[in-house]
Amino acid sequence: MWRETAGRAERIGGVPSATAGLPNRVATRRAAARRPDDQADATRERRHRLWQRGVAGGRRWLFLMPAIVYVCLLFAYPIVYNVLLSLRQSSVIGLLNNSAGFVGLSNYHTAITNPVLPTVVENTALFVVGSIVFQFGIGFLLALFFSQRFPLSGLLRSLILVPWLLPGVVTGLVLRLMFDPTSGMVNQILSDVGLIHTPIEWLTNTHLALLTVVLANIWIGIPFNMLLLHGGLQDIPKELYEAARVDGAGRARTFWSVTVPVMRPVIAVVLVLGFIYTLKAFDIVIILTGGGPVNSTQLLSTWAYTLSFGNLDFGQGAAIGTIMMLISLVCALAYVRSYRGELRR
Amino acid sequence: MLHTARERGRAHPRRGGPLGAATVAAVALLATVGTATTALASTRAGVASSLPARQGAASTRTTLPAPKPGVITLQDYYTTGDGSEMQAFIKEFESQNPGYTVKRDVMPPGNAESQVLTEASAHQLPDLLMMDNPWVPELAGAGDLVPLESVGISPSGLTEGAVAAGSYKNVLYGVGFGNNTIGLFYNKKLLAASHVAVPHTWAQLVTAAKALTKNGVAGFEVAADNVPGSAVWQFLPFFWTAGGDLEHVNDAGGVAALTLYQQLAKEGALPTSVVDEQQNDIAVDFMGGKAAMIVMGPWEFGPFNSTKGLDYGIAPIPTPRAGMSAVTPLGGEVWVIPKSTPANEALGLKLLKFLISPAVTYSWAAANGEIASEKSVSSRLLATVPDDRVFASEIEHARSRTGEVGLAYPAIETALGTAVQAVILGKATPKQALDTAQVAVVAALKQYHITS
Repeated sequence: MWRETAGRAERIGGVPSATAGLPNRVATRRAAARRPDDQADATRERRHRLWQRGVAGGRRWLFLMPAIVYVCLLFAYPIVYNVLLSLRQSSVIGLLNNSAGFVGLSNYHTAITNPVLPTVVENTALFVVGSIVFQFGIGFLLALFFSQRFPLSGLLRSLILVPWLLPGVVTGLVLRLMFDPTSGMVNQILSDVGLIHTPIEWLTNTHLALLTVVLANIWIGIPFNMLLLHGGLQDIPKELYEAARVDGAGRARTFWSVTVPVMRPVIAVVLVLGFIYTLKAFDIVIILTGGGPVNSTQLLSTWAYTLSFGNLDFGQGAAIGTIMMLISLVCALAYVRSYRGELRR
Repeated sequence: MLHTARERGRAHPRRGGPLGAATVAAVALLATVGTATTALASTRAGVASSLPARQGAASTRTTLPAPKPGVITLQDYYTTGDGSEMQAFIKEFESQNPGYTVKRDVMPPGNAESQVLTEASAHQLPDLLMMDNPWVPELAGAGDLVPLESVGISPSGLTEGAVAAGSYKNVLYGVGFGNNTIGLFYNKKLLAASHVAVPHTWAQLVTAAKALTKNGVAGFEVAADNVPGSAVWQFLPFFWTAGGDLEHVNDAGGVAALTLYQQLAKEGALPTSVVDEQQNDIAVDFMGGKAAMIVMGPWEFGPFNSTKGLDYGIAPIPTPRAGMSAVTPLGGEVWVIPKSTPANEALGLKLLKFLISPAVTYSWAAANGEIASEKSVSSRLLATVPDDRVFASEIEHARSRTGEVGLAYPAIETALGTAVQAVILGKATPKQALDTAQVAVVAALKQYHITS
C-alpha cells in the first residue's frame, strides 16, 4: 500500500503542481458519482492526492530553506539577541559567567534619562536631515543632468559612483587627512585661494565637527541617490514628455507635472533607504571624530558603540540599538503602507 | 541560545506538512543551522554562553599537577620591534625545555581587550595570556583567572606597583615583566633657547609653557583624544596629585587639576588640537620639535633616542606646590593564567615561571625602560639605567586605575575624558564639566554596587 502510493506519486510526480493543486471537492464529487465498490479506490485516490500535496508542500519548504536559513542566521538571530541583551544587566562579568539577570526596561530607562541623550538625538536628527536633503537634492540634479545624453556622460556617471564604492573606513581615513587643520588639503586650498587666513579646525571645533561629518556623509550618499533616481528617469515613457510639449508645457511644468508624479515610487524608495542608511551611519563618523569632541558628533550609532565597547555596558548599548531598530522599522512600515496605497490607486 | 535555536529548528517542518524526504532534509538542514548558531553565539563578544562554565573545579584547587610536555598556547600584544623580543624569549624557553612548544598568537593592540572578552565568553582563552592591568577586575571578577598564590607564586618578592597592577580585591592574579608610568619629557634645546627652567610646580609649568609657545611650537601637550584611555591616563597624574577622587570627580582636587588645563589652553600654551591626538600623536609632535614639553612614558625611549637632533630630559610630573610627590597612574601589562583544565593551567604556569624569572625580566625591563616587577631586579636595573630614576621614584606613589572603582572604571573614564575635552575647548568651566561627569560616575558606581 505504502509502496503503491509512493509509486503513483512518482508517476504523477512528473505532472506539474497544477494537478496537485486540483480542488479537492472535484475529486469528492467524482467519487460520489461512482459505484459503491469504487469507493475504496476513490478514498485511496483522495489520500494519494493529499500525500501529493504534502510532498509539494515539503518541496516548497525545501526551496525556501536557503532564504529562511539566511534570514534566521543573519537577521532574526542578531535582532532577538540584541533585544534580549537590552533587557539584561549586561555588564562584563554578567556576560562572562552568565549571571546577567533580567532587569526589565531598566536599561532603556537609564539610557533615556542619560544627560547625553538630548545632545545625541539632536545630533542624529541634524545629521539625518542635513545628509538626506543634500544627498537627495544634489543626487536628483545630477540624475537629471545625466539623463541628457552627451559625450562621455557614461564615463562621468561611473566616476561619480566612486564614493559609494569605497569602503567607509577608507573614505574616513582619507577625509581625516584632508580635514587636518595644519597639513590637510582642504585648509591648504582654502588659504591658497585666499578665503581663510587662519586654519579652520574642522574636526576639533565643537561647532564645526558635525558639519564636517555631514559634508562627508553627503559626499558619500550622492551617488546612491543619483543612481536610483537616474534609473527611475530612464523608465519614464518619452511619449509623456512629447504629450506635455504638445500641450505647451514649459520645462518647469513638465518637471512638476510629469517627472515628479511618475517618479513618486522611486523617490519614496530613495528617501526611505536614505533615511535608514543615514540613521545607521557609523564607520565614517567613528573614524573622523569618534563621536567627539565633547560628544558634538555623537550619533545614536556611535553612542551605542561607546556604551557597549567603551564603557563595557552591553545592556545599555543594546537598548540604544533596539531603539534605532524601532525607528527604522516605523519608517519602513510607513513606506510599505504608502506603497500599497500607491498600488491600489 | 542553544535551546532557542533547536526549538526554531523544529517549528518550521511541523507547519510544512506530513513527514517526507523533503521534511527530513529540512530538519537536517535546520539542525545544522542550530549548531552553526550556537557556534556563532559562543564566539560573539559578551555572549552569555549556555555551555557549562569550565571554571568551578579550579577554584578550590591549591596545587597543579606537574606539567606534561606539549603545546603551550600563549597570547600577547607585545608588538613593538615586530615582537622580536618575545620571540627570542620563546626560543630560549623551548631550548631550555625540550618537548615543549609555544604556540604564540599576537593580538592587534587596539582590539586586544574585545578579543580577550570574546574568548573569555566562549571559554577559549589560551594557557597564558597577556592583559593590560585595568582589565584584571573584569576577568578576575567573573572567576576566569587562577589566583597565583594558589599555584605557588608569592607576591612577597614583587614591587608594590607590580602587586597593585596584578591584583583584584587583594588577590594576586597577574604578574608582568614590569611596570611603567608617565613623566614630563622636555626638549632641552627649546628650553635653553627660551631661557626656561624645567618646571616642578603647576605655576612654573604654566609660565614655562607660555614662554615656549612660539614659532609654531606648542609649549606643552597632553593627549586628550576621546579614544578611551588616552585623555584620562594622561590627566590622572594632575588629578590624583591635586587630591582628586575617581568616585567624586567634581571635588576640589578634580576641579583644581582641570583648572590647570583650562589655564594652559586659555594661554594658548596647550593647543586645542590635542582633543584629536592620542599618546603616540603627541610623541610624534615631540620628536618633530613641534611640542616643547609632553607627558610621556619610558616606552618611547627607543624612538626618541634614535631621533636625530632630539636632546630630551625627563622630570617628574609637576605638582600643585613645591615639594609634593606626584601620584601617577600605574601602567604595565600582566601575565595571567586563565582557568581551564589542570593540565593546561600547569602548562601556563610553567611558561609564566620562565617569563618572570629574573634573567628574562631584567632583559625586558632594561630594553623597555620599565621598572621590573621583582624588587631585586628593579634595584639592580636602576643602577645601570639612569633615565629610569624619575619613573622609579614616581612608581613608588603610582596608583592602579581600577584600585578604587574597579569595574566602574571604563564608564568613569569616558565621562572624565569628555570633561577634559570640554574644558580644553572652552565649552565648560572645570566645575561645570566635572559636575556633568559626576552624574555618569554616580550611575556607574551604582550599577556595580560600589559604595562611595
